[in-house]
Amino acid sequence: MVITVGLIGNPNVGKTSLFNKLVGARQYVANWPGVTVTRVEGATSYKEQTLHFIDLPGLYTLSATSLDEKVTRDFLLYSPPNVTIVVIDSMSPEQGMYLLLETLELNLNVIAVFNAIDEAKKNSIKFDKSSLESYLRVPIVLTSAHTGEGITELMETILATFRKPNRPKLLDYGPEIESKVAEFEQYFEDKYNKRFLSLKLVEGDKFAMELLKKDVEPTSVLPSNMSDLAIKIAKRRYEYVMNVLNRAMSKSESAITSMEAIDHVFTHKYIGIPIFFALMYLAFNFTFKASEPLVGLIEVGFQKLTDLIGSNSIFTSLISQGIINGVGSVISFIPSIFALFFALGIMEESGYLPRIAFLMDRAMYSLKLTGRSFMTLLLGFGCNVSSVMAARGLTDERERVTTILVSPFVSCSARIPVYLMIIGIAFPNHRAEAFFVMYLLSIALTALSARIINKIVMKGESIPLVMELPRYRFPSLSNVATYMWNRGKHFLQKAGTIILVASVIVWVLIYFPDPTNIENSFAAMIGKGLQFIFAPLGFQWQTVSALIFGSVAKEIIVSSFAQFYGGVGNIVLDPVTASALMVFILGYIPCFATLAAIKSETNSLKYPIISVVYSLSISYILAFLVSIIGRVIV
Amino acid sequence: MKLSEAPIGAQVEVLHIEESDITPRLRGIGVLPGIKIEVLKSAPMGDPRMYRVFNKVISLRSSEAELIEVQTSEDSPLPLTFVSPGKYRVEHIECGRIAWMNLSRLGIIEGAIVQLLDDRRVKTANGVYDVGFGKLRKIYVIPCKQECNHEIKNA
Repeated sequence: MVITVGLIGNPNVGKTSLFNKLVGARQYVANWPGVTVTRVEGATSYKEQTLHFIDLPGLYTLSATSLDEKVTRDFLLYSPPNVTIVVIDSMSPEQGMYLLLETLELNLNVIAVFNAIDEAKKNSIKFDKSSLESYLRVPIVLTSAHTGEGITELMETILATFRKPNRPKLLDYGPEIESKVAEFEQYFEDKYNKRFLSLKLVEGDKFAMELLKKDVEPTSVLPSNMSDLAIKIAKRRYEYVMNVLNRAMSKSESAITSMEAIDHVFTHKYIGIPIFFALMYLAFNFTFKASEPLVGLIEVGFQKLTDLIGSNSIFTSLISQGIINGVGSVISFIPSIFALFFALGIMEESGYLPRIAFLMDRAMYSLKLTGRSFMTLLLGFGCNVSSVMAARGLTDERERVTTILVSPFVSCSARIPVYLMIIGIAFPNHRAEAFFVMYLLSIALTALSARIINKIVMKGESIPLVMELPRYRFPSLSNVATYMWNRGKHFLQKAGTIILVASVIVWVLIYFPDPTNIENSFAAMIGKGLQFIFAPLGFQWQTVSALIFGSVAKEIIVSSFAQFYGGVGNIVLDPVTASALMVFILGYIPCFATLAAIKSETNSLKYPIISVVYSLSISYILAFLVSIIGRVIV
Repeated sequence: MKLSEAPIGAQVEVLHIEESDITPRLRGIGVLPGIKIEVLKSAPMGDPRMYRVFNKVISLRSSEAELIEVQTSEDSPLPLTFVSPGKYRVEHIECGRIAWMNLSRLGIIEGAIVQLLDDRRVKTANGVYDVGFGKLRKIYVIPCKQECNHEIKNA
């Protein structure tokens, strides 16, 4: 017997944390709204029953407007789960209970969960469970995904609710609205939940209009005072919510907390943005200082191993050069990547990121984007594929496509080893600074591209934004570790698969046809053949070949370099060429995985092609400028 | 008054919302006629601003806040720049230590009764002063009720 359980709720109320607790999964939970943009499923068994949980994207109302909200609505409407859990934030229950009332109109089997009850207790907010139950007429469970409180009770309640379904009808909207609802029901096919759709129709929901019977013309049936009716319906729900809370919740007057004082500084009009950059700089400095000893150790280890095996025969050469040197050169940067994700994890986990989005919103406005897309783009620092996917959360189609197209310019973790390698060679004394500059440049290039794409490809107006700013939370070590691991492991997987395969291919191209002299290899032929294109930038054939191989995945640049020169330590690059090379790598060609994601998310071949052409030209121009300016200065 | 024009620190009540693409979401969050909203702070260049609806903090751009018609709640503290001449009680002063010391020397401190004169000067227990616009904006007051109906006496 499988019981399906859907989890819904406002954004950032802890649905995913709860899901992780229930299923024992390790989905990453960030402290900003809109992390879950597609449904995530997981199963567990409890008392010989299989519980199949579905974690759905957060929303405020079932009148969905963005793609991720539609995922949730369609799921509830077309494949209603056996049990639906509405997760409500105990610290601000009003909005969650509004969603609960809406959900009940879908005639679902509902449990209301008041999550973050530990935080509520700390702030002396108390709920009277039995009166909540009697007013809302659904089972109530008070939980904390953080401490684990109430989780077992929730499991029990799921079983009980499944055995004894309970679908209460709570609200009567008064004669004016009820008569309209009754009138509209005839316009919908029997297979739908008529009352829900009629009510949505009265609220002016566009989706409900689409589901009208074919012969019904929306304009002819809809009342002229629809906006008034929509407000009446919403007011009725909120009045009910407030009445219930007046009776079932007690809270003391809130004092100014230390968190508010911190927030005052972090979101300060003048010093907020400088603080953001200072924190980013600190994060990069930490990345180097924390990982330096380990990186050195791994490098030396791989070097020793290569020397031990030698490269006298074709077989030992494949092992030592192709595999150990090729893959090892990438692996040795893993501690740095984990350190960076650790630092970024703390920023995300604490709830600081949405504040940055708030501070930057004005700047994003001039790019015709929103603070929300800023957060989506920040995901790209991990992997561009995830930011392309997360763009689903953006309401406006134009903004979504723009965000997808500029995503590749956000410097993803695959580029970290490449920068680290080049910086280590050309700027050994200013590593944190050079790294920081690359990230600033990445942000600037992303902004510039958004501007250009908006001007040329997608013409349009700016879009409205309502964004929630979550509470600050003290980052827990286990959450930061999960964050770090979830993002870092992707890198390890790549090292074992695509990077390994590519390293072997590069080795073949180097070894044949002449193992004794690399200048006669196939790799050299390719590089020399195309070198004329990059001559203005001052790139050697090794660089050209590495860039070509690296278009599959950026880490392969490191592995190719290591093989061309027989180890990272032997590479020579002057600072100007190195800068031009890094700028070129920042922008040129999204990796295959990203291109595939762009194609599937936009559902057209046009955008991946635009992306390749645009990124190649802009990065070439920028790298050219850097090398010209660099040669003038040096 | 539009929500985008409400002064920071004020508590306002929603009167009316103009229909737009985001109205359903605003309704879901609780921005509805009769609901109270607190204006918290603004980002650089005055846009967007943070508002508190129930216990949730949201960020709204001025272009959206303009669609929301509000009035100030009766018991909401307002900056002195925002009120008409009359007697007020100082609720709180949003400024640094030094500015606070300077104001307290004039007799403008939390709990004091002050009178805004027709020429926009401020009469306190210590005397009548010209207070700059920047400082006036930081002094939040609520209208006086009966308890302070007597004349402000010069010390």
